[in-house]
Amino acid sequence: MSAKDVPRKTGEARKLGIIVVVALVIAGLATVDRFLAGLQDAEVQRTARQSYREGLRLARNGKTGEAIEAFRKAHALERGNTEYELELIKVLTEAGKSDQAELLMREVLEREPNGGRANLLAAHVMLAKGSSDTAESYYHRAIYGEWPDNADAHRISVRMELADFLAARGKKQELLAELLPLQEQSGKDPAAERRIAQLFLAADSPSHAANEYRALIKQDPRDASAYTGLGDAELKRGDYRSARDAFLSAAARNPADPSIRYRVELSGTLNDLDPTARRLTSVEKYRRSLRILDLARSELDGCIAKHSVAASDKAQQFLTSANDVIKQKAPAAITNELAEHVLGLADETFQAGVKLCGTPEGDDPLRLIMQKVAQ
Amino acid sequence: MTKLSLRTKLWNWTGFAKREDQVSMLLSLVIGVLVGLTVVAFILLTGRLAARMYPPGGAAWRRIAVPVAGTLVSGYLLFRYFPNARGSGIPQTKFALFIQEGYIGLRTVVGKFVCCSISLASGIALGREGPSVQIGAGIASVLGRSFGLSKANVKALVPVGCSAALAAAFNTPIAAVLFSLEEILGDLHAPVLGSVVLSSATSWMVLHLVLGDQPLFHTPAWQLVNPLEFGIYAVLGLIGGIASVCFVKLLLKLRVWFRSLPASSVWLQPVAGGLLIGLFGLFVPEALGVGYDYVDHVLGGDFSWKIVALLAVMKIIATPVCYSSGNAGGIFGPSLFIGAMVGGTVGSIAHILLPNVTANPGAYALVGMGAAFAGIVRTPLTSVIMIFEMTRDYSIIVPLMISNLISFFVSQQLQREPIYEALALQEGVYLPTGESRDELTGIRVSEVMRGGTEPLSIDDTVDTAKVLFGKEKCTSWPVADEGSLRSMISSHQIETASPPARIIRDVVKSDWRYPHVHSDHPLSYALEQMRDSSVDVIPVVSRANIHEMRGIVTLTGILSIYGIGGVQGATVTR
Repeated sequence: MSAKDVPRKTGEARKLGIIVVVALVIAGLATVDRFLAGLQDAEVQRTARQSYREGLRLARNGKTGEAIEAFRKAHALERGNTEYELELIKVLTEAGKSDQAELLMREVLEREPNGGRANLLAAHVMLAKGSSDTAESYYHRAIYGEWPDNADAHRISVRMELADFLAARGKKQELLAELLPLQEQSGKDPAAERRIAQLFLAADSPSHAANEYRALIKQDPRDASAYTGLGDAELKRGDYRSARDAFLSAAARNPADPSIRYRVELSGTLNDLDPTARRLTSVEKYRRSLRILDLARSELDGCIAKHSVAASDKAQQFLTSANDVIKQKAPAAITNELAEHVLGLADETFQAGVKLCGTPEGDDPLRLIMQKVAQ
Repeated sequence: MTKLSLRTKLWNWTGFAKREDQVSMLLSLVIGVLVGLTVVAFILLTGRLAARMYPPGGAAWRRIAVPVAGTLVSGYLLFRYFPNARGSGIPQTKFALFIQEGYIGLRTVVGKFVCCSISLASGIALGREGPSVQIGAGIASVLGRSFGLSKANVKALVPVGCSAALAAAFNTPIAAVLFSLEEILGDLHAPVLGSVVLSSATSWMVLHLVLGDQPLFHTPAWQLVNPLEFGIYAVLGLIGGIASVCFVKLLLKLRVWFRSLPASSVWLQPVAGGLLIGLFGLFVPEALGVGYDYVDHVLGGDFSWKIVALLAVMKIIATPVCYSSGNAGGIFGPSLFIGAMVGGTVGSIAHILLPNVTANPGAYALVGMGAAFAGIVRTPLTSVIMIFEMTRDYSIIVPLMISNLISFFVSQQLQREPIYEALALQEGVYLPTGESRDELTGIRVSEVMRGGTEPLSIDDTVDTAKVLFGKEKCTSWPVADEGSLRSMISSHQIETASPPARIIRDVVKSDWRYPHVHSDHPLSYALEQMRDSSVDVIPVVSRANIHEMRGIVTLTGILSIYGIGGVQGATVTR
């Protein structure tokens, strides 16, 4: 080795030494960073979990404001933890802070567009904001979304909630569309069956409701409420005799319930008035028609007394005709046509009253009978 | 045509120059990794230390005792061992770049890391980003020197380290590149762009590998509720600009005051900052530290505007005190905090007054951050991109630009010098100003500077000056007082002096506002100076000390390099 090579070699060795030192520093720093990051992550997760639990406790105790703060802290510490975010959204919605809940909701849905619970909460947020149509679509997404555990139970529960929501909005067709699959999915859960039966009634599907109640009665023949429900369903179907039987059975099982007693009475009245019942003689049909006409006349009379200015000549004419028919002596030969004629006059008189005073509300026997006759 | 030295020719011929460029490029990668890891360690260590100092449910007395103790310890360390690690780190990095040929010592890097970790963890109202920039630049400088790079290449590595540091500290790789070019270098077309981008990207990747993919701030998605909101954003820009000016002016004034205190108290001065922030923190704990957690909270839009307004005022007071008293820490983070609080306040009030036409106040807090940053740091482009990167919400860009530009304009009108340049001026250092950025192009003063020239002494006779004018075929010359450059004298002054002057002192007065240029100025700037001052000779002075003359530039010298007239009076080294 020449003397000239010595400094060059020394310089190269120095550079090599620096490279080794830099590599060692990088390795050391990487180790330190990983260690510190691990420590930080563990601590942050622990603190976030504590805040989350605290939030749950506060929410259970109705301290929504404090619960929001606790959930917010948990969320700030551990971003992207859907569990924390959803609880925060829930309490924000409960506290009426639906705008904030919606903003957070968007983030969650962007990350988990198919999340079942996220979509359900989005529906709640939208409901709180008064966006019913959007809420309905989120309910559907929640039903078909992903649920990490007990997916079937969650889907039934959401569909039930959607059905309640649709019933409250009076969307009967959509309600029926939800109830049919629900009827299949709910299995033999009495509470669910009872609710489904009620919703079938709300959806104007009394035959489905009657089937549900019968299934309940089969499961527990002592169930007075099931008999009451069956009676309501039969009443809605216009089968007053079956309704009365069901109400009587309910009254036998729960004699103290005044609402059942009322239903027995109502169904009895309707049963006695019903001119469309099978195997009625013409005389009996005529007699019932006259009673119905009398009821319609009384109602129109009261209506005219209330709205004398608005009452038309036609209404007066119907009233006069009804009075005439009622006062008339019964003909010797009563035919079905005669009974139908009286019934027709009763309908016209009733409609005149409706025009003047509106449809009678509640369980008005005349209205119920006229509805059935119109069918 | 200029002559190349034999050494340079040899250097180019052997390919060493090219090899050094390759080493520099490779070092950019290494710097990215090393700075990224160091800054991540800095962030984590500061965070862990702070968690120990302020455990959950800790006693209230800690909020006073910890900042006082922290500033006492770090103040002593800064005074005794690491005097260059004081302050934010940005001006110091610029000093290194423009004055010290890119030199930053390892001791400064270590000192900055240690002292800032202590002081920031103790809860003082300063940020970690400025110190990170100095640490990054320092690591780049140390590495460059260790690998035997030329001074020019070491200098070129400084912005590389800066961008790597900022990318890791803020999690904003694009803004880091822009900041290095816009603020540190003052040239968006700097030739080091490739290396700066490379190190920024590398550092950002390191950050993501260690800390995962989370933006610094989380913001709810923004949407414009009503076009009227643009007007409110403009108002926010105005208020943000005024708040920025208050902040900067207070900081500069306080710094002058602290500097006027006896030198023996320097080690104790940082405690003033610790004590003030401790007192604020005792009543409003959110005032402690840089406050990014609370910024996140405000961005969420759920806050009381009164608290937020109070925090804005507290931070506008506390940060200047902490900084001016000599603590180690930056003003980036506090700028963002102040902006978020000002924006939150404006947004809340707007929301109360006009609920149907305004978005969530959190959106205003976000825009306020950019406005304050643009007003204080005066880097409007960086601030827009930085906020975008921090939040990853592109939709906010338009209101952000409106507010930023208004804030920038207001700040520029009410406070001429940007904060870092004003701080440097207080140190007696003349950094290239924003206005002179354009001037730093073309042929430089250094290329026609005549070295080895002596100024006239203020005690010389006017006859001596006349002789010199005749000899040099010029009409003006620099004048020094005890070797320190003080003024200029011209033949016109001598001729019009009444009564006739005997010595130069009779004609000129000592004044720091004499015409001068720096060696990195372009010739066009020297010509403008000559025109404005009616002189045909202008002294070239040091950036670190304008009273230190390095040489002169003559009008004939400038003309000669453009091929006009003779070549007398100038030595062309191009």
